[in-house]
Amino acid sequence: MRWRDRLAVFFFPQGMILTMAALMLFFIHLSIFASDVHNFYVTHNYDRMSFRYTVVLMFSKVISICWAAMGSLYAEMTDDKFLRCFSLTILILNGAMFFNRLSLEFLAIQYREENH
Amino acid sequence: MGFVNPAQPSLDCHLASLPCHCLRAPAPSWAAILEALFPQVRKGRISSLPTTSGGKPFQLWALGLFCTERNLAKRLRSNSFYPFTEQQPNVFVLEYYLDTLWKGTLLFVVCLLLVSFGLVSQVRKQETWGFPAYGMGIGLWLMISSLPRRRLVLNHTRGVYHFSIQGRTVCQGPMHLVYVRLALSSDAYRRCFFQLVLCGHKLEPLVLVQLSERYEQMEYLGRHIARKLNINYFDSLASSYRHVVRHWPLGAAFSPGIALRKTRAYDKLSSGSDLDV
Repeated sequence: MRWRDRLAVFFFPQGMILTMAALMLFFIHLSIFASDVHNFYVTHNYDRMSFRYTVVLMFSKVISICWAAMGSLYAEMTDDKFLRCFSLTILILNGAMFFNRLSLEFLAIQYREENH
Repeated sequence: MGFVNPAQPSLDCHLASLPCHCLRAPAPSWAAILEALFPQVRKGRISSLPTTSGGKPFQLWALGLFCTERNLAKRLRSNSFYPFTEQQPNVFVLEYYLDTLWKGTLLFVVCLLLVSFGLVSQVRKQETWGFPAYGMGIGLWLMISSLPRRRLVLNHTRGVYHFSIQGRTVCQGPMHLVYVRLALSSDAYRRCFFQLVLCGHKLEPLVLVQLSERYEQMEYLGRHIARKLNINYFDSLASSYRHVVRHWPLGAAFSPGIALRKTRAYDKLSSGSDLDV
């Protein structure tokens, strides 16, 4: 029954699920950002950057900030100090990721499309 | 909790009027109509003991789509303990699936069709198949989280309620923590809309009637349901004298702030099942 109990955690507490989803999205965005920075500054391979997915990526970042904010709101209603700090950290990380992405897009704006 | 202090009649008058200006004077005829709809309002109807408890787990979905007061009144006529079923005398059981089950499935199927047929895969050289992919993920999550069946048991013989999800107990507590509540929301033109909600401590709120403007009918239905199930009924305001409290918190009877209700002249519709404190 132990694995069922662990799986059942996914079914009920609303605040933790939103924070966990925001954390997962944060790791995905971080890996995409790391690969983009690597292609921009190190290998100068601008074709491999994620320019074709900019719209979906920005939408995904906004959604992850919303989910992190909702999860932090749920965590503030409980009295668990660890949960509150954790959700707030995830919210701050997602916000920082959004502004990082924005800065990189501004830096790379002239490399987006090459017309010959 | 609502209570009335008989030593302060001015507070009584202040509490008597709701701030909503749309509250009409109760029409004398519709009470007779509702009495006709409930011919057995005084007797409880005990259905035959079923082999499986709660035969209709999807009954709340129709309530979510077409819930007016007449719909609820019609259902109450066929099952007086709606949405519960009476398993034994004084034990009520409700088994249901959340309505996010069909909403999540619908979202998942629609996004799956969009992704497989490639309708929104590329817009002006931007790859946008990520949007239906997001929709698929969210729909799948809603569907999976709603698959376990919820079960709410009101056990008056032991004085506890019990909420479990697929056999795993979520919460079990005393009866004063489950109640029927009339919720108020108003729009920008100060028109009031009422919702009848069955909720409790750590329970998922179940909306029985959505967005109705008729206060008296909603209150009648709410009090009827609370009387049948023998739980508390609360009005839309936090402190009002239209609350019907049948179960008090433990030790509340001995707290000095709670005064007894001396007159029940305004409460002629409810039966005398209030706890005598």
